[in-house]
Amino acid sequence: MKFGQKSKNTGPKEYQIAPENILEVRDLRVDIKVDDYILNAVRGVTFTMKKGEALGLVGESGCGKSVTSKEILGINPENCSSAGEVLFRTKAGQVLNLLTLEKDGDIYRGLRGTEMAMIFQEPMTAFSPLYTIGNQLAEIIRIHEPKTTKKEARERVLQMLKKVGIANPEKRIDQYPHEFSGGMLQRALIAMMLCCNPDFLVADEPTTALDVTIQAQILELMKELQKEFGMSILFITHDLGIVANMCDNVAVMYLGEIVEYGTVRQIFHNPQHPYTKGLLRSLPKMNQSRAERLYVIDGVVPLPVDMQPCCGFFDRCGHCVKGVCDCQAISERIVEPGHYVRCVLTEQGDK
Amino acid sequence: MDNKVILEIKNLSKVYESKGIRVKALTDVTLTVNQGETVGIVGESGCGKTTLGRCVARGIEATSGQVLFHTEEDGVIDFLKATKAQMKKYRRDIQMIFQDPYASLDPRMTVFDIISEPLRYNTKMNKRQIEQAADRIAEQVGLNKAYLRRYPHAFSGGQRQRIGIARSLILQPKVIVCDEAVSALDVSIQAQIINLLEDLQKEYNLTYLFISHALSVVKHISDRVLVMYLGRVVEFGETDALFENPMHPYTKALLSAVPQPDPDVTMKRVVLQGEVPSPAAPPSGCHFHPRCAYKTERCTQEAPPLEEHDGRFVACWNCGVCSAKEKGAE
Repeated sequence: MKFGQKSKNTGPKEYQIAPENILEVRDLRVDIKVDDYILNAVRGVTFTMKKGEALGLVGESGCGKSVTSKEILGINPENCSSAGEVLFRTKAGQVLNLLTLEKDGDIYRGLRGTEMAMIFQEPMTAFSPLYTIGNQLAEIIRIHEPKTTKKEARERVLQMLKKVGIANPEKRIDQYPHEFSGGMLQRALIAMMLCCNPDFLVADEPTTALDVTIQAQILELMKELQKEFGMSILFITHDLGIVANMCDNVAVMYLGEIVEYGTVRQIFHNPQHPYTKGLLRSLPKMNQSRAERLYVIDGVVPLPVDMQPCCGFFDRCGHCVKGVCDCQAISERIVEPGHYVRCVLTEQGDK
Repeated sequence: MDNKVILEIKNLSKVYESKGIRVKALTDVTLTVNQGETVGIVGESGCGKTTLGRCVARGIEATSGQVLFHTEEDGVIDFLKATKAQMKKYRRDIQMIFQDPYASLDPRMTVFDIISEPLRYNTKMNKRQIEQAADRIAEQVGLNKAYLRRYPHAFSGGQRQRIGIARSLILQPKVIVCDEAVSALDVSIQAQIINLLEDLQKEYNLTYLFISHALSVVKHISDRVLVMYLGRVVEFGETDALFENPMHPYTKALLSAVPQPDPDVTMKRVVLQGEVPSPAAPPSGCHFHPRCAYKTERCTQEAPPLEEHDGRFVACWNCGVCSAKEKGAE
């Protein structure tokens, strides 16, 4: 490893992450300034991602999952301020702290697209309606590799469209987004993302806007591509079914914190945090009898304004310990190797 | 549950025409709904499920067919031929709950105004009676009475959906068309609203037409399920039986496509090739044949009628082939 060397006097600080990791997020905090108050959207999130891993980031709206992922890509709006470290290993092996980079500087812009990419929830709004699909995909290639000729770029776009299963790409490449269906656009968006072959992909609710049979097709496609290219994917979703099918590990977020982290089996078969348990139990299941009432987590997610150190879930939790949960920061506890939970009850149960 | 029929829909069709393009949104939809039951209507976008719901509530006029509403006083009324006076009397018996709680509430009306508006137009209640009714219904759906003077923007998605439910309930309707009523909500809120809908149903003997693409929710809440594809009914039957043993290949593919929240459930996923064709240019014969693994010559030419097989209505020339094959393989 080259990055272990001592940094030069004025050069950028050098960071180290474990050799198998592509991403380490350490104590990430993001505050969003809204009018006259500040939202503590992300409150100390720490996680790592190995190369080729698929990590699911689940939680309900407002839990900070999208803010976390956008902070990694540096595309949060200007009213967000962040603290902590986001360490990312480039293809060349260099480790960068993304938070110290200038958001629209050359380094970051070089990273986006070629090293990291994102696919969005609504493929219909991710494309410009004014240019053909082929034009928009070729643009990415020509920006990142200025030496590519138009003809070469078109060839590559054709290949990519074929790869993502778009029938008749020779005709499709010259069509406009409105001529594509939602599923086809999502495929085109995946093709766009593949054009520069990034190692790290953020998929923000990639199939939420699609029908189930089309969703099945897209998930299948993403699985195949992940295998083929060895990509690391950060899956952001509220659909626990997708997580169970697509991911190796799961991080459950609530009110800006990761409350539980583990492998899919650990989370789905042995959930520890009351929120994770409640979330899993409140899902209507296909194999559940209809007479059963759905389990309900009382209350609503509060706004994370002016957050004091506490368990974010305390006011909705049936097992809240007064004087502990509502006024102390809850530290992470290890349930078993690879399974962490932020809940005081776990400690009591184990020791 | 008594099997008293409340709603009969017969050969309902809806054609949209624009610039010479004819889109058959609904073709010969027939179903019977009993009082107090929940009929789930599932299918992908563009299959006509919303059109069906709106035709029933008469938000849009169907092109042909009958929507027969069984009333206690006036016998059976065909909604499509009813007189204005009859409509005025019975429209209130069918209400809707909409998908997007952010778009379905007027931002310039207070919650009290929103909830009580139906009373002001449809009854002769005085101010005090209206206030009492609104208070009562608000309490019933879990809204704090003290917040009734606020505007919708002050409420979260789940609370807004409660407002929408209160508005649809205040006239004490018999049938409620729930068009994706929980789709825009988070999981934990979704569970609250589903339980609320079930409680209200028990209390008022309500009948729900529950339109949704979320199959697990439909399975949970429905007594019977109607599966639609490109404007036609492909399968209709008891929920449990239909989910256990789908007889139409499309139903089977649809059910298998739902990701299960359990990493150890290995899915026998039937990944359908292609996409839903445009309803403006539907395929010949059975609309599903271009994506069907079991298609035969006949499917490409003739549309299969909806026929009864063991208490289930299925529109397929090779009905049961898909489930029989699997059983043979096991």
